[in-house]
Amino acid sequence: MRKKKPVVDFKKAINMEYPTEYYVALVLGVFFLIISCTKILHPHVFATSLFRSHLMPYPMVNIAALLFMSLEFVAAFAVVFMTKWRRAGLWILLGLMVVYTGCVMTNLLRDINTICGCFGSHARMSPISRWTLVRNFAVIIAGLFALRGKSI
Amino acid sequence: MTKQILTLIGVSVLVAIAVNLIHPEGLPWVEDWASRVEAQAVHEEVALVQLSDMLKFMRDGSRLFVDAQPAEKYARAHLPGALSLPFDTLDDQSAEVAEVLASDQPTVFYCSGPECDDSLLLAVHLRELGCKDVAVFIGGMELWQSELLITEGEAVQ
Repeated sequence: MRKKKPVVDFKKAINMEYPTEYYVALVLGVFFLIISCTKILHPHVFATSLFRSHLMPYPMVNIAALLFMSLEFVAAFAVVFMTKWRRAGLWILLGLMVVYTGCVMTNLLRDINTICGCFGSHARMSPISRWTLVRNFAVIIAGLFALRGKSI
Repeated sequence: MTKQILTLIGVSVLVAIAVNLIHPEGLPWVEDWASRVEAQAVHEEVALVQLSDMLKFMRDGSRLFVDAQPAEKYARAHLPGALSLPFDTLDDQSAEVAEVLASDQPTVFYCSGPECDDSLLLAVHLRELGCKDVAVFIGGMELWQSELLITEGEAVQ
């Protein structure tokens, strides 16, 4: 019987024998996995964040919220636990980040003072600003960097 | 790659349906968000103010706060320094309206909470009367008190 390749070879991982892109992909995957779990636990909070972007037809808000958080979870799960699906998962996470960043950018241009909710939200969170864009772009760049690696 | 991406999207749809079916706080697939006060404020092009902004404005004293709740609710609890201008008795409040219009400070209107539209209606009305810089704190007293922030009024004593 053929021996199954482990998802993560911890010995290799701890000895930093994988390329940097691999670690960046894993960090992103774990990060999105945690964030998506908080969204799934409190779906109404995420739906409210999407509503507050005021960019999609209101009847579509809940459908988009349910699909986005589930997509985020499945893609992040693939990045962390499914070696052969990691690249596809990363592309999806990157796509979601582009959508979220587009929403932030549009609302900044429309001067709508709202809370992002891209990575969860709470009442005292600061509204979106140029720093929200910087943060989102940093995640996008990290995603692109990870995708550059041939053996992630 | 495209096939894998499409497969993951397909799985996500199934996960979304399954999770929403068993989730104790599951969402209705379609909800009437358009009737929310915040949606109406965006439609009316009235600026929105978040709680973190309110805390900043409280500290720097750069805004005039106007409470649109009925007088008895204002008497019970209101934001520190807020002026009472109940929307339901607006016609009898010409002195307060004049005070707001005469103020050169930007004005933030609020009422009891996110379900209450008195603050938005008042903001729109005063904007029509000439109040230039109006904004609405949608969270209102409900959000303010849920964060255990300082209030003024009978309920405090």
